[in-house]
Amino acid sequence: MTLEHYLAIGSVLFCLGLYGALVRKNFIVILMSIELMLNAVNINLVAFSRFLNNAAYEGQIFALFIMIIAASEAAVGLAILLALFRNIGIIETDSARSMKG
Amino acid sequence: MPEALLKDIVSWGTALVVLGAAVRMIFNKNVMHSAVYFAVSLVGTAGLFFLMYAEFLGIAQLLVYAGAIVVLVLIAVMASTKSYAELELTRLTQTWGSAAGVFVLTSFMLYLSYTTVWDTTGLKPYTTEHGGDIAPIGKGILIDYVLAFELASFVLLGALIGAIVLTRREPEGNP
Repeated sequence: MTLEHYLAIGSVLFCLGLYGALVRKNFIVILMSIELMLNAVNINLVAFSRFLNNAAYEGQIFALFIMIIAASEAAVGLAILLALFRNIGIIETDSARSMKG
Repeated sequence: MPEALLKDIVSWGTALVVLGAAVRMIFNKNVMHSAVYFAVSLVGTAGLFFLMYAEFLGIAQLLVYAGAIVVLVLIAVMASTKSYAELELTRLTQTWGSAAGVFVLTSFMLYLSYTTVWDTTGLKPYTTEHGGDIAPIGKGILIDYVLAFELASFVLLGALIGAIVLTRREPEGNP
C-alpha cells in the first residue's frame, strides 16, 4: 500500500471528523470528532515519515507532540463540559444561549 | 499467498475499520454507542501505525488515545446524563451545507494526494539493525526537540490545573 493510499485514508478521516464537528449538536460527539481530525493528521505525518525518508523520524516525533496536545485538549474540553452541565443541565450546543447563568 | 498481497489486504481491512467506525460514530443517536465506535476507530488507527512500522507510536496511541481519552469521554458521558433515555436526544443540524463543503474539501485533498508526484527515494526496506524506532524518537525528543518537549509538558501541567479548577465545587457557605 503506497503513500497515496495512506494519505487518502488520512484525508477522508479528517473530512469525516470535520463533518461530524459541523453537524452534530451533542458536545461530546463534537469533541470526539475533533479528536478524529487530530488522529487523521497523525496518520498523514507517520505516512510521510515512513515513505519519504525511512531514516528520519521527525514525522513520528511531530505525531507524538500532537498526541500530547490532543490529550490535554480533551481533558480541558471535558472539564468545560462538566462545568457547563452543572450550569444548564443539558449537553446540547443549542441550549447554551445566555451569557451569564 | 504472496506477502505483499496479504499485507495489502490487512492494510485495507484496517483502513475500512477506521473509516467505517468513524462514519458510524457520527451518524449515531446514542452517545454511548458513538463513544464505543470512537474507541474502535482509535484502535484501528493504532493498527495502521503498526503496519507502517511505527511501533512506539502505535503503543502510545493505544495507551493515550484508546486508553485515556476514551475513558475520559465515557466518564463525561456518564456524569452528564441523568437517565438512559436522555442519551438518545440528539439531532443533526445543517446537514446539506456541511455536506457540500466537506465534499469539496475531500475531493480536493484526494486529488492532491493522488496527483502529486511524491519523491519516494528515501524509502528503503525495513530492517531492525538500528534496534527499532524507540532510540531515534528518544534522541529526537530529548536532544533535538527538547524545547518543544518541555513546552508540551507545560501545556499538560496547565491543562491539569485548568481541569481541576474548572470542575471544583465551591465549598458551601461562600458568598
